[in-house]
Amino acid sequence: MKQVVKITVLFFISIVSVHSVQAQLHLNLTYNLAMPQGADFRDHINNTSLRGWQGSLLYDINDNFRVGLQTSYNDFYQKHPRQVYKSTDGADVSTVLSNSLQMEPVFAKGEYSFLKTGFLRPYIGLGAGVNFADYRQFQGAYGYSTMYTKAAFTGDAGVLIPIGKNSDRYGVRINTSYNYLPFHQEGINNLNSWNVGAGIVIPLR
Amino acid sequence: MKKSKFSLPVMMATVILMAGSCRKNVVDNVSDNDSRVYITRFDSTATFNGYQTFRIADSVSIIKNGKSVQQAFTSYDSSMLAALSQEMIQRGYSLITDKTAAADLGVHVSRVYNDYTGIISYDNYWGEYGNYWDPYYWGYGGYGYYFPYAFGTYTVRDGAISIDMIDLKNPNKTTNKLRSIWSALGKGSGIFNVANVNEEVQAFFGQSAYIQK
Repeated sequence: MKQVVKITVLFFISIVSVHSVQAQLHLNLTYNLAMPQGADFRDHINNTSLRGWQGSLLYDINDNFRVGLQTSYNDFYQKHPRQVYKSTDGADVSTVLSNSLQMEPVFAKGEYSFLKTGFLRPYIGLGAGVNFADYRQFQGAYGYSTMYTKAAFTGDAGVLIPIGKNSDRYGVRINTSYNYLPFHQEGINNLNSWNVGAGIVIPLR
Repeated sequence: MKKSKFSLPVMMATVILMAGSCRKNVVDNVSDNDSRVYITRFDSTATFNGYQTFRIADSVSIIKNGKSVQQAFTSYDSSMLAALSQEMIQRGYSLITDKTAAADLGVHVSRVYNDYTGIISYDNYWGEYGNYWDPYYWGYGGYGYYFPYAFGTYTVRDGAISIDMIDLKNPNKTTNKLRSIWSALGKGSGIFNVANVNEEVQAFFGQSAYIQK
């Protein structure tokens, strides 16, 4: 894992070193709420995911731009009351249905900050990558699990709030994002979600 | 530039731990009652109101790992047979208790136990091993059974109650087969608890409104 992180960091440093003004690498860790979007997704799981986090490694190209990698994790779960379902093979199945979904999108991410200084520094970001989705469905206590790998896109906006004397380094990060996660499996079209997060910015270098 | 007090490995480990501990355990959130699944299937070509009478087996077949090991008549078994008889009578069918008399329908019950995670398929566990309920029992010695459908996609881990309704009125004399027109399968925690018998029978018949004389 350490090697992977080092290689990743060196990769981005090599890309942006020519343009660097004040090179800094930041680790952003935020608690992340995710709200399912779309009728299909909400039919399966309508509950907001309260179990989630988001992490990103972002490298400052200059005072406004930064690029890096971002990943997040959210656990979606919903138990539906007992009802009779018609299965694809014609059987009538009376069951309590539980749907469980864990999503881990990984993005190549770029962000732009509108202000170089100040107490609140708004930013916007865009990302594209891969989504790893572990879908599990249980009839009563009997379930199955399938892992899917799909494309993933994200757009987000937020503010950075510098903390303390080293105001260019540590900070608080508050953001909202929309994840566009194409998915055409299990009777669901797309696993899109609105996300709200808050966390910390930690300088690494 | 001041060095960060936080090391990257510690941070990454924290993230990994967060990821690993953040999945809700689905099974822990399913009660015994919620864990039970009731599945029914029927032959869509059958005319359920074309039958008048039924007989029900006087014991329950115990099937373990695909083999019939014994006939049983525990308190659960007797309660299940009684509840099924009562439900059939309520649906308009007449119970025939005289074993020498012909009935239009035969109902038999099995308790199926598997020590492995497998697929319930009548073609497999019934057809292959056969004669759990010899058709002779229904007055059709030398006949076999055929099921126009199968439970092909369900996993059994602990045990299941299986009920079959056999058409005794229209035996296929060409193939020597007795046709099952309705089957029910129940599984989950407490499936063999006497206290749950009525709930199980109500679930099976509640989703099978077409069973009506």
